[in-house]
Amino acid sequence: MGKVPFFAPTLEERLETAVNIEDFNNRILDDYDRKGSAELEADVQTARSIIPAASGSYRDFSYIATEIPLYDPSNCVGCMECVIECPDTAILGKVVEPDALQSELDQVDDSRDQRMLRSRFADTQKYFSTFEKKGEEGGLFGIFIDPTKCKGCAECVDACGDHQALSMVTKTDETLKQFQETFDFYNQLPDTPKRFISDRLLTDMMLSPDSLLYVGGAGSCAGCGEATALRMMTAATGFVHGPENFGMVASTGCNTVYTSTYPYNPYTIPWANSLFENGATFGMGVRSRWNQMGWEGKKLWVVGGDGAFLDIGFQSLSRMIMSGMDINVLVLDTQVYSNTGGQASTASFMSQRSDMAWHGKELKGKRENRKELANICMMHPNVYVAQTTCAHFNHFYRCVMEANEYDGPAVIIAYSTCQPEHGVADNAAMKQAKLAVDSRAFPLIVYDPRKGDTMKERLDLKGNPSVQSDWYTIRKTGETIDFIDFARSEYRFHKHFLGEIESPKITAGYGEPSPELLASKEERLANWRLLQELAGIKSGETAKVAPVKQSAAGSEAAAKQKAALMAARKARKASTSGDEGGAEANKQKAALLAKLKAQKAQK
Amino acid sequence: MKVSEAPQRRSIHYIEYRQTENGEWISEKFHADCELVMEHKIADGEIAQIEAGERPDWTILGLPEIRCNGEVIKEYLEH
Ligand SMILES: Cc1ncc(C[n+]2csc(CCOP(=O)(O)OP(=O)(O)O)c2C)c(N)n1
Ligand code: SF4
Ligand code: SF4
Ligand code: SF4
Repeated sequence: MGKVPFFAPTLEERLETAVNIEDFNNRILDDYDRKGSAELEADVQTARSIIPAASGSYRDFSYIATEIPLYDPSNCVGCMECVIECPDTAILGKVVEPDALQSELDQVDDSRDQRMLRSRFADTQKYFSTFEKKGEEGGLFGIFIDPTKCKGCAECVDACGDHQALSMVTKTDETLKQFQETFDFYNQLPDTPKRFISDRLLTDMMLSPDSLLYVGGAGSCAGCGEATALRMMTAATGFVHGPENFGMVASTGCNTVYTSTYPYNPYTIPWANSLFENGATFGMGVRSRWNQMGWEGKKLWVVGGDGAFLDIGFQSLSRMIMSGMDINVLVLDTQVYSNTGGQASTASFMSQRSDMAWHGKELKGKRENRKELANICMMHPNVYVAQTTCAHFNHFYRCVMEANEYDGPAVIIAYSTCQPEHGVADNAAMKQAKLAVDSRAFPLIVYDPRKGDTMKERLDLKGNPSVQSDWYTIRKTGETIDFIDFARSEYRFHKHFLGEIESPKITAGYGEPSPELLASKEERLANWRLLQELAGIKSGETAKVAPVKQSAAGSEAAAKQKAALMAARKARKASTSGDEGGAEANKQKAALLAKLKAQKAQK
Repeated sequence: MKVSEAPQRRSIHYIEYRQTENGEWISEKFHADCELVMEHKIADGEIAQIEAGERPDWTILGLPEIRCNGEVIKEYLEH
């Protein structure tokens, strides 16, 4: 009998025999691409389902989208926001020194290709002029698209926003080839020299290869908000602590499906899948073993959805926090069970429509309040807690870095846009996450026990707009943003806006909000006021936290709304054709019936 | 509607270069349905290329349509 791999005596031997990477790359990946999984022989290697790191880099998604981003270098300021927000690691930035660029360009034969490649670089103020002013040689900055990873979601275009340096362009076989050649050129260039990566500018992190620990090739939906959160968490951890000091455990959910669909793995770091319910417990096992091996300094992250941590794995998370172990948790909060088709979770918003909380005659979406995991976690002793979004990238990065530094359990809840279940466009992840914060649907929170002994000292609501007020008022325009504005922008709430108009297709999102949605707005306000009170922004009296139930708040608002609707209907009837119109319609109907009767008789 | 309009796709239709009455050149990117127009900052050497009827270097990748003072000088995918 040959070696039994998992019982090999040393770690090195175990690793060596666990998976044969050469065979995997040459045979398994190749066969999957050419023949599909059905043709693969069942052998030890495939049966064990171990997927080598970064095999996702071999995956080609170029057939998915009809469009690809086009970069306009002269408009680019080098902010890196497009690179941060792309869920698929399909858009990357690099700074090169002019001589290094020239020597690579000199090796390109065709002069037109040379010009095209040279034109990809901009002399931005950030990486060029500022350095030249200091008497240092400036760097040239460029943005490059990996056409095999890009799913055409256009999130990067929205992230670029007012800089207007990205647009989508229709792609063809010919232009796809150009994009690939351009990306190959990017890969040939040396890594961004360290002097251009500022420690103070968190947005620069993704210029470093130590941050690119999620290589793409994952099967997430185009524009998925979860994938961006995973990329950003791995980037901030790898950048500070080094890719070799980091591992992950993942609770079953969308995240495990798209990152471990055999044979594609987007991670370059060790990763293991637990069950849906026990990511935190699994993490405790890993942490214990690591500590036994003297790996106390290694960073361990447990990730999973809101279903995994607020519902089925809730007690397991609480147990983990109470253990005081140094484990970080990232909750990808899509407010539904995204992976299994969008069932309600306790994180779903009140009145949100989902499987198990339908919107119909009796039930108008979810009746219960949203469970606030952050609030519950804060009441455990000695735990770092944060609520954040990828759209607030500085906040997000800071939370991840603080969680890593915190010597004990940390829980970060990240708002994650889920296109199919929220009913929003592929390029809407950042926009919706921002709106969720602006509308108090999902406030930004940092709770750090290191900050002091009182709740007020520990809880920080910085980053939320108009932090003193109930709702956010845009200073320039005077507009107020509330939960109704957020709900109006997502299809999962659209039935609450039908109002008086009949065709749901035409009216989605336009009518007056339903009483149930108004109750949900009150519930969000109550949550916000509670946070304001805890953070010492308002006293309990001014915060006035009233318990909200959909049915109770709904019935009062419903009565008001019903009266208003009846009055509007009456007024409309009176002002248009009114009774005359009804009589005319009846006449027409009678004539039509008579005609049909006559036709039938003739037959 | 305030903040909740559906996000636009921002797909390029064509890029226009135009010389104003005072001789100054401006350039804009027109997106599908032409409702969205973005400014393109003209870089060194671009106008010389436009005047020679050539495709500006930065558009060799993707090959979008180029117009100059209202006339198409390079069709989409034309080199
Ligand atoms: C005990 C158990 N019940 C049900 C399932 C099926 N299942 C897999 S993932 C999932 C939902 C995951 O939801 P969530 O944790 O919110 O993650 P998301 O998919 O939204 O990212 C369910 C119900 C399971 N794997 N195990
Ligand atoms: S279109 Fe989407 S997938 Fe492609 S680079 Fe932009 S953000 Fe990434
Ligand atoms: S977001 Fe726009 S301006 Fe910023 S780096 Fe990307 S392309 Fe340049
Ligand atoms: S269903 Fe939602 S969470 Fe799952 S991959 Fe798609 S967008 Fe992401």
